[in-house]
Amino acid sequence: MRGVSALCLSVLVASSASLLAGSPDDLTRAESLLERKDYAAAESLLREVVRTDPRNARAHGNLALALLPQHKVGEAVTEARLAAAFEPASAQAHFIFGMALAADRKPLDAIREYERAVELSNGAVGPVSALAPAYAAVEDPRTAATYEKLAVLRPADPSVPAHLAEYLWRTEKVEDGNAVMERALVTFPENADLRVRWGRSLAQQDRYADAAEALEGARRLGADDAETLALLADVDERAGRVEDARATLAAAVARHPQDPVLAHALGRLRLAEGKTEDALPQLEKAALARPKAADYQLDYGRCLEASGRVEDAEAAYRKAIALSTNLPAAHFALGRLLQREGRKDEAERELETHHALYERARRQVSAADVRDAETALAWTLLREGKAEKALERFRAIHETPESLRGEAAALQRLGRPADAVRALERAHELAPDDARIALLLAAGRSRATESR
Amino acid sequence: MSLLAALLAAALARGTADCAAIFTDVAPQAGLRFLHDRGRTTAQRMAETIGSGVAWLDYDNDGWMDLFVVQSGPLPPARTRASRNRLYHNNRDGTFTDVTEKARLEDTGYGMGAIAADYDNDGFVDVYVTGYGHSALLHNNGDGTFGDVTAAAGVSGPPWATSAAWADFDGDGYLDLFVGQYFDDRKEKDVFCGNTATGERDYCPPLPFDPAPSILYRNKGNGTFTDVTRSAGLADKLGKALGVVFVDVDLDGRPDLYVANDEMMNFLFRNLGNGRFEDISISSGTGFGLEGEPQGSMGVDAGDVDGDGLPDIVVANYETETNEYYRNLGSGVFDDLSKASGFGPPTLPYVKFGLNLLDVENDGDLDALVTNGHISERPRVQGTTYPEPLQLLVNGGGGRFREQPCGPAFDARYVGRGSAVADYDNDGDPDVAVSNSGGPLQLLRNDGGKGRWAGVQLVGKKSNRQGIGARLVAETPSGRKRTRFVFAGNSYLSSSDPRVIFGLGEEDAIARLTIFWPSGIVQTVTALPAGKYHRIEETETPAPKP
Repeated sequence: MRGVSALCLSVLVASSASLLAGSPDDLTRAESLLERKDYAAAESLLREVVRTDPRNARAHGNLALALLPQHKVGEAVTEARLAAAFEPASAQAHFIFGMALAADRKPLDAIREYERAVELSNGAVGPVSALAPAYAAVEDPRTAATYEKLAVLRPADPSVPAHLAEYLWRTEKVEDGNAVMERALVTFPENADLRVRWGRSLAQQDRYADAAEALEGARRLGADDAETLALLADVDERAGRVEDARATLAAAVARHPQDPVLAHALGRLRLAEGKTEDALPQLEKAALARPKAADYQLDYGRCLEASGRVEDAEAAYRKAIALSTNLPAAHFALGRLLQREGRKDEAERELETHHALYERARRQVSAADVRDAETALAWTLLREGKAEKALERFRAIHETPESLRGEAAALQRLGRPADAVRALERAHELAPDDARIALLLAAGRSRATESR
Repeated sequence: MSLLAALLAAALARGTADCAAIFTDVAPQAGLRFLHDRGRTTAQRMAETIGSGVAWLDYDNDGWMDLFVVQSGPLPPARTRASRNRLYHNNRDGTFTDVTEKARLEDTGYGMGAIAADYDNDGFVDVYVTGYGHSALLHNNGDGTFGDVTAAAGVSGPPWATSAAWADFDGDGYLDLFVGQYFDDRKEKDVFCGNTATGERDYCPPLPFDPAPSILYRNKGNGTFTDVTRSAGLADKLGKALGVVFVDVDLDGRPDLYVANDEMMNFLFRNLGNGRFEDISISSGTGFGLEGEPQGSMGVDAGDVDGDGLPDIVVANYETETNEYYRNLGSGVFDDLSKASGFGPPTLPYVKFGLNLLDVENDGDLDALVTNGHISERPRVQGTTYPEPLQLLVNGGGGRFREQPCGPAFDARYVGRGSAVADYDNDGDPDVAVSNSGGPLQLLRNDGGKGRWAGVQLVGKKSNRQGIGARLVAETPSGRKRTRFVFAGNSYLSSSDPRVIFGLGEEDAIARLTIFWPSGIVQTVTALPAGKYHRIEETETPAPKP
């Protein structure tokens, strides 16, 4: 059920009886089945209802709801369309239609139906709950305002400001996102999840000291899962608080003794501090727990070498290389070890391999950096309103999903929606799993159809 | 004295009681009122954040080090008088006089670095000025003036020349010149770095730009040079050179070459003695960081850090990377002791540029002074700032370091770039000049050198006139040995006092000094008393090797 939240569905099912008219007995039974998530039985019952009463909007709507979880999206769209057609003044029917369209990857059409549902329901919580993330998915400028409206409707729900903040961060409105989250933390001071999200974002903003404070706050409120503690230790270390990082990791390993990530992090930290005797058991545990992780074998090898166990270290390095032949650091570590052992020819081979891998990676990173910086210039031109120049720049860049996305945006700005769709189609070909491009393509196609 | 002043004085006394040396910025009172103009543009071009350097030289041979300071100026380079470099004459009383006009220094390029050396062995020190788009060789006429001989000498340099260094790589008695090139910046107009949402530009990292070759010029001995980059085997060694030092890493009497590259493997080229260099960057272990990663390297210096007689190499790196200390194990192989020695960890948060090895307290161990300053005016990482503090890393013996910020100079924050060491007041301890990007020049007077000292000024005869490239081994009466090397070009965009100061601690003399001249001559001098500089001329005939 792509694009449909569980919350929307439960709100919908619980309230649909009051919005849609129909024969009460079978429909009520079908709705009970839906509530029990017995979608196949509900589908069977509802098909019988619509066969005998083909203009029953409530039945069509419920049937769509039964079909969606079974991934029968096309049929769901048809049923939902009928529900909306037979009850055009029903907010619920438009809401269901919107959900079906969203599942059918027609985000703009879905938004249109959600908007209608919001209008007909005078801004009921269900349709607004669906509309806000739908806007966010296509980066609609009304996203923030809709989330703000939702926050009024669901004042006790901390996930609303959390999603708004994350939308703003994702769309590079970092300061706005921060302001939303800071207000949310005042409103929900005891919510650990908000603090974890806030800490994660602050870490991404390179505000490590603030991130550490946020995550420490989350920890005090009970967030002591391994992932959060690992992140806390990481930001502590990046903020220069090595002692705090060490203490966090030590406590985290005690709390989650089987977690290899935490053991690895603590081992690495102690190794960097020259405390090989403390590092070794942790790195050994991590390497044993993740025998296929080349970087874990490599760090274990480094620690073994620092402990004077040269043969074991060599074996660990060779294992890391066997697991990941393209890991430059493993070849470097092995090469240096062999060099210290006086095995010159073997050492040179490993060091040359390291260098070759490094050179290849450098060229790749460099080429990617060039593309990123060239693309950034084109985006900047577009944002400055220089669509023609931006289009020229985007087209001069070696074709990437991002350059094609930019090209489409420039073409759209120049009033060439069909060309924009072609660019997005090419981008979709290059990156078929990129949800953002898929949504933009769907939106572009809708716009192109409308303009025709 | 007020109560507050008394308390402050007491606190200061407490805070500095254990200091190896105390550095005080005396530039304003010394008459060094130089303000670097980096030519900031809204386009945020890379050249404007690279900064510039300084060179110490005794241009008038009066025995006192004068100071050449590189100016950058507007971008694109406008060649105006405001972008002229400055020469400050040492008045021998702790002050300097600006003699730029008198010295007829007319070069107005967008300057980067300055490296002083007597390239024509006429007894007067010349200066090579590197620059963005324009470099210049300034010949010392011997009468207090300089002339631009770049074209005649054939050393116009690469398009973007950064650090350079002089050394007699072919052993003919004349100093040759290596000029580092940063990168090919032609792509700069086609890229945007910064915040695309706001359109706010920032300086790009070097990765999007193509590496470029540096240039090696061979001195023909007649005032002209030949580009021998290709025949030396260096033409295909493309890098992003920011720091350069010539140092004889294998003690075979031939200067080898280390090049610090930005976000690329660093280079160590071994001098084969036949006009060619062999790339031993990989096998030597000096090309990468501890875990085999390339680093954003800037300044570089070399010296015997651990007292074993071999030159070690130290490199200044970007933030979140530590400075590197490569310990020379002999036979062209180095060990990375950056973390284990304490040399690297204190430097982790800063963007390091200038890096000088110097014995601040004259105890015989080489310490390190680091100049820091961010590239970005708005650094992303929380807690980092554009201007950053200087750092002093004190060697406790054998290459074990601890940070010791002693004196008011370490409280100030500037966007530090080039740095060079000289005993400008001839009191026997090393002082430091620091060029700050877009900021004032600093002269860090060393007020705390506690140990005794003896200085040596070399005068080459068969070797180049200043003995650049010489190795000196001093043995004290107690039998302790200290090894020093003579450079022309180190740290970042800079060159230091070619005189050598031996810190003697409590001892009162150098019992025996052995000089390994670039010519191959090995000369031994005995009984050099502490407290003065000793001028030593190269013997005409080699003494038997000790």
